[in-house]
Formats: sequence, structure tokens, C-alpha cells
Amino acid sequence: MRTWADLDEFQAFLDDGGMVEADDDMPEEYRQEVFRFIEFHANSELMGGLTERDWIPHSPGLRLKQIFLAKTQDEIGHAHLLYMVAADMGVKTRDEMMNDLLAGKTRFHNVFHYRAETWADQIAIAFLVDAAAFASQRAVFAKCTYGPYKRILRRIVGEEGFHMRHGEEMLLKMASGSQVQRDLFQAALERWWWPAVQLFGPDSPPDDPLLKWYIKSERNEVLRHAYVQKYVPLLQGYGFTVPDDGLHQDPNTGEWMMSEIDWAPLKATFSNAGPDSARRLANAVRNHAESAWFRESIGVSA
Amino acid sequence: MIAARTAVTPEMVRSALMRVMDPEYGTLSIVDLGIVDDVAVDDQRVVVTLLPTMAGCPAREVIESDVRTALHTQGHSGVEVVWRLDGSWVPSMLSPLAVDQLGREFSIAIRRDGVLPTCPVCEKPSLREVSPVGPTRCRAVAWCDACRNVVEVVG
Repeated sequence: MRTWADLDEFQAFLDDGGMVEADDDMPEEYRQEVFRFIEFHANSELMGGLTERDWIPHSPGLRLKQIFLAKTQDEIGHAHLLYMVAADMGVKTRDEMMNDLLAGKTRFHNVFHYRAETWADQIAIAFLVDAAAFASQRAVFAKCTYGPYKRILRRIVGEEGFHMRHGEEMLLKMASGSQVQRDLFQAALERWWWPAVQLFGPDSPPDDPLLKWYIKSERNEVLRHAYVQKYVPLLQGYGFTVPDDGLHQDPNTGEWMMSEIDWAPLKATFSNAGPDSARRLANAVRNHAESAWFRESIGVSA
Repeated sequence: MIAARTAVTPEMVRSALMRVMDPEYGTLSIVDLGIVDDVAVDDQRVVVTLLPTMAGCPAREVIESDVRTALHTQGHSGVEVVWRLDGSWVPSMLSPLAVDQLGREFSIAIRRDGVLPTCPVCEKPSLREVSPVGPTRCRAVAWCDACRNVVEVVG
């Protein structure tokens, strides 16, 4: 176990590339922030996994069912690993985290507060949302100073990278399909573009503790901007229209610039008041109740 | 100029397969993972027989397509990929390099003869199995009571 005299000494340790381990006497502020971040990540994997699961019976063809089955297992499995590390930090037990999530007291990613209405929405999620989540997770992994979290992220990032290939493959099918398929995807793109861009969050505050402690390696707006540079030309290349009237290329740098983002929809998801939040949470509550017999049979509570 | 036609050998095919990486663990080749069961070559065709870690492995199609791409790039046409589905892959088929990398890079341990290995993070015999499956069906989830890390276990 290592101890630090004060926050300055701890900061110097982190600035030198130090890695915090579970039994270190870490500053309370660090413990709380890192815990909240991992809890949010775990909640998001669980809520995301439940959405993937809803689409297993609706996936067209055995191969896609197999892929959605595997993705569901991945996401729920990631939640399982993350809840273990979060619970070990001694802030909340796994039961408490689960109860808080189901009671709507804690947060999960904004993208899981919207409804996937058609199969094309699932493809938009796999292509756009998974890619945004991947970019943001990769940026956390890059410098992450909490060892037990970084080690899980190493595996999660690899697995999410694999999901993205499925997203690209499914999008290619839609893009090269009939007009009906192209129209379906365009409609889905209009529903999912802004939530995907907003997944990176509003501009990072100048004194963001997550940046200072290297849980995040990059500012939200930098990641968002890089994402837009990659995905605007990709979508346009496939012949789709990005739903942003103000989208343009900077005449000097050639960079893609978006309209000003309306953050109200994102803020609504922070208090679980998004368009589909209530249904999603009710679904998660029902799922938790219906699987109680299984947890009981293996002797665990959450 | 047309190059003289050289006979394709299984070794040439295997060296191309060394560059086909696992879709999730991009630093490990499918040869190191021990899933290349056989390579057969004749005048017309290259037949690569692969052995999935589990029959229902969701990565099969991607791996198959990566194998074709790698062999086509090397100039082989007539590539056939066959999957053996009799479930005979065992963790001892992992190369020493794969075992080392899975442990050091991914905190994934290998179970042999049903005995939990030492923790790949702290190397103490302190692993405790938490669940028989985790994010994939081919790995169990374990907790290390010594260093308090989550480890996944193959086998």
C-alpha cells in the first residue's frame, strides 16, 4: 500500500505516469470521481446490453442473431467486470449500484435514452454510436491511472473494436441495397447523428478532475471534433446526408465544422428524462425481477 | 515480366497466416492462438483448416475473411477455408508467446487440468472463480484476492 502526503504529491505521482492500485491509500476525491466514472460505464454497458438483447429475435437471419447474441453477452459481461472493480472501491456495494440504477438515481450513456425504432436504427447504433463509444473508451484507456480499470479496458477496447467491424459491414449492406433500405438508414441517421455526437459530452471544463487525474486523456470537444472529421466524409461517401444544415468545411483548414450543438437533449438524459428513458428503465427493472430466480440459484444478489 | 511459377509450400501459407490477427486481440496471430489445424497445398488449391475455440464463436466469419484476404494478397487463389467443429481446441494449443501476451497484456490466464492458475497480474495463487462465463463464452471470470483485479480465465 502506498500513501501520499497530500494532493500535490499524489498529482506529481500521476504526472510521472504512476498507476494507482486497489490497495493504495488514494485521496478520497480521486476514489469518488473514479468510482462514479466506472459506475457510469458499468451502467451504460448493462443498459446497452439490454438494448442489443431486445433485437436478437428481430435480427434478420441466423448469422446476425449470432452476432447480436455475442454482442449482448459482451456488453453484459463488461458490466459484470466493471461492477466488480467499482464495488471493490468501497464507495457502494454492487447491490446499491444496481438499486440506484433501477431507481433512476444514477446515470447511463445518453444514447440509451432513445428508442431504436427500426432495424436500420440498430445499424446506425452499431456504426455511429459504437464508434463514438469506442473512441471515448480508447481515450480513457490511453492514460488511465487506475490499474484495475485500465486492465479491464484493455480487453473491452479490443472487443468494441470488433463490434465496429460488424457495424461497418451492416452499413455497407444498407448503403448498397435498395432505395427502401437507403431511405431506412437515412431516417435512422437523422435520429442518431446528434445523440452520437453528444455522447462525447459538452466541452470539458478547464479544471476537469478526470483530465487532471488522467482518467480521460483527451478533452471531450477534441474527441468529438475528431469523430466528426472521420464520420462526415464516410457517411457522405456512402451517399447519406448528415442532418445538420450548418455543417460546412472551414475554408482554410478543410475541417468539418458543425452547427452549434443544442445540449438540452443531453441534459435531459442526465436526469433520466430522455425520450425513451422511462421505458428503458422499466424494461431493466422487469428484467432484473425476472432473472431473480437465476441469481438466487447461483447465490448472488445483484 | 511474368515471374516463374514457384511451388507453394505449406510453410509459405503458414507464414502468411502469422499475419492474420485475432479480431479482438490484434497483437496475437491465429497461428499463435493455435486455431490453425492444418494447411494443405496442391497445384490448384490451398486448404486451410481452422479449429475455433468454441463452435459458436462469433468471430468465425471475420477470421475466415481475413485468412482469404491474407492469402490472396500473397498471390494465392483457390483458397478454401474449412472449420473443424468437433470442439477439439484446448488451451494447450496456445503458443508460449500467446500465453505470455494474454497474461501480460490482457490479464487473461490459462487454466490447465482444471486448476486455476496464478494471477497474471500479481503472480500469486489467489484467484477465485466468480462466474463460469463473462463477456465471451470461452472465458470464465475470476477475482484475485491478493491484488484485487478482475481476471479472465481460458479453459
